[in-house]
Amino acid sequence: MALAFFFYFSGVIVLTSVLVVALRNPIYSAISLLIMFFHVAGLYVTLHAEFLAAVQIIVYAGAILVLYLFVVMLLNVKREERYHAQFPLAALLGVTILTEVLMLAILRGFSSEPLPTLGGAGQADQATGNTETIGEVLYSTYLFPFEVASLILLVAMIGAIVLAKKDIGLASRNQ
Amino acid sequence: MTFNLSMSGSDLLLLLPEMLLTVWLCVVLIVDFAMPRLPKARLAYLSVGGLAAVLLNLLWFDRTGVTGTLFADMFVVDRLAIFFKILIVIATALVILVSVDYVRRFRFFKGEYYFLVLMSALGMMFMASANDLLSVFITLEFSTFGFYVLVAYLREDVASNEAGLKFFILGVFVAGLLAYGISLVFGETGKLVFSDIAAAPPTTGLIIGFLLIFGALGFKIGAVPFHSWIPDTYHGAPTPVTAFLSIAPKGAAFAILLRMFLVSLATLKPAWVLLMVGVSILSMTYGNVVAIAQKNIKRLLAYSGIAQVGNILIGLAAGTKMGGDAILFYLLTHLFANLGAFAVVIAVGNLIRSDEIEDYNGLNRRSPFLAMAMLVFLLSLAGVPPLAGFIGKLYIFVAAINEGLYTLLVVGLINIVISMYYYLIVVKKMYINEPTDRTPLAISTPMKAAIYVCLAGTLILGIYPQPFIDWAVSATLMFSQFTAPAALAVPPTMVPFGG
Repeated sequence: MALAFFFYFSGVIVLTSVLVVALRNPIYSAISLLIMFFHVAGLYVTLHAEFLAAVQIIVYAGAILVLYLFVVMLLNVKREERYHAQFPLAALLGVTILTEVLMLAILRGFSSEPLPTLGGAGQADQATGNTETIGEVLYSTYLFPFEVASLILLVAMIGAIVLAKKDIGLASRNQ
Repeated sequence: MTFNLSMSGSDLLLLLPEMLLTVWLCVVLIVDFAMPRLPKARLAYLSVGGLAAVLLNLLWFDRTGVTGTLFADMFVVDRLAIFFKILIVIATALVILVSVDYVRRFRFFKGEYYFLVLMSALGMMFMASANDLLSVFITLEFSTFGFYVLVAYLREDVASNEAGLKFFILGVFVAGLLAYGISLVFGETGKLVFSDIAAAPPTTGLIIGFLLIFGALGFKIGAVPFHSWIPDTYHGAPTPVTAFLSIAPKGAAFAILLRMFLVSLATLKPAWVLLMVGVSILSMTYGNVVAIAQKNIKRLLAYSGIAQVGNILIGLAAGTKMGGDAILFYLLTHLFANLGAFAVVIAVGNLIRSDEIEDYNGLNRRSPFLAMAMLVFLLSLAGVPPLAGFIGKLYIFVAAINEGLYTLLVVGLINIVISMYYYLIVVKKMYINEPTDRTPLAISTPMKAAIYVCLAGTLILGIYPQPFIDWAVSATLMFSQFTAPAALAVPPTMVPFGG
């Protein structure tokens, strides 16, 4: 059953990834990318990495891709032909890398042994889900970076306003 | 499920200076928003007041010997961290004082300027306390974020925008390098805290990781070959921001470099000494030689800053506790001399709207005070006795001699001669050349105050350096057992507040 899911998700990922670069309309490419992100998230769920799956959907599908779509729509790119001339080169590079990966996999062999885990607070507890574990670690061991990140958000917010806000209406406030 | 925060209220007191500053910068932001009619200079004094409170707090920590670690060793308060925090807070207060006139040039968001300066200062205070690679990454990015905005603050000015963009793109690239280096080190050792990494055997991945981290920190301090952003960014940025960039982030990055090289990599010293010697020689020579050709005083100070970093790296190349002391003392002298020189540049720039060295012709006739101050600061930067820079250079060279680094010593001495040449060109223009315009220059009170503080610092550190040397020596006590592989930043027996 898990194998069937794996082949479904990975098949769709490969297909949509090819479509992202092969389609001529940038909007279609972006939508293919969106479908790919969702299936990568599905792959994470089958690997019991629920947190990663949620982050994948919220951050990549939810935020980054919407940004891509905004840019494509704002620039009003209908068809992009410039990069399709590079197709042979891209195919060559892709095949080379694929061969390398396959050779590594065949030569080293697939191992069913679990990877050596690093000790410390990052280790997921099997009984509780990994989302709980990450949350717990984030609010205890890694509280300091977490708090500093909140300050980074504040400075980024103010910085974005300072750099990007239009001049209209400001003159009256500041003069 | 267990939730264990293992932190008490008294532990949180270790964070008091940072918390104070966080609250204060929010107050500055709210006051700016709530009282739009308030003169912006008041906001500057409000910020300086907050920094004074933080400074008092830090001095109290220093006197009472407060030490301890928080958040599973990620955040450390020791003498070294307190030293660098005091350095950063003084630099920030001086920068805010010299900004008061300059801020009138901004068309918009004058109040947010002070907020962003304080925010960067907060980031750098965190950097001084960063005791593991994760907090190094996040605090370094935090302090740089404010600078990205500050460098591009003159929105109508093309040079400022260009400077901001260059700084941002290179800065983001360097953040990538840093993250990659940290991931390699973590992958090799499974540890992030500096003192834990010390025990790890040197593998290829670990060495590449540390080289990448050194590259990222080298970018922050502006050492050759990571200096390419410095001239354009220093030139285009608003001058007070340039002044801030030229000392505070360097200090904070040196805090991290000292912890990394003298604690984590202490056992690998023979391997990295050559790296330090190379980077130091390159920075000194390149900075000084290129500075000769500069026509713009900001660019001149930018290149002289690169050369000064080369000098400071001599201390790291020595790699001893004494080298560490020398770095701390040198940074202290550099703080006053460099900020003072920039304060004069800002004062002159505000009045004659030019940063070209040509326009310093006959400054002595127009404002004897500014010319005299500039003379003192430039001579201190060059290392002329009895000014602070002389003691700083002497200290760092003695540390190098003790380790037998004679090549560095020779190159350093040659470079002092080269640097003397271009500093004295500015002095000659100020004192001997005839001015084209003879109108006297008037200086505002906050500017005068900042210049007086810098003058006092430069003279006192040069004439009576003993208490400051003692302070630097006590700040680096933790490195005295640095040859032991498990050198701990703070001995585990030490309890916060000496209790």
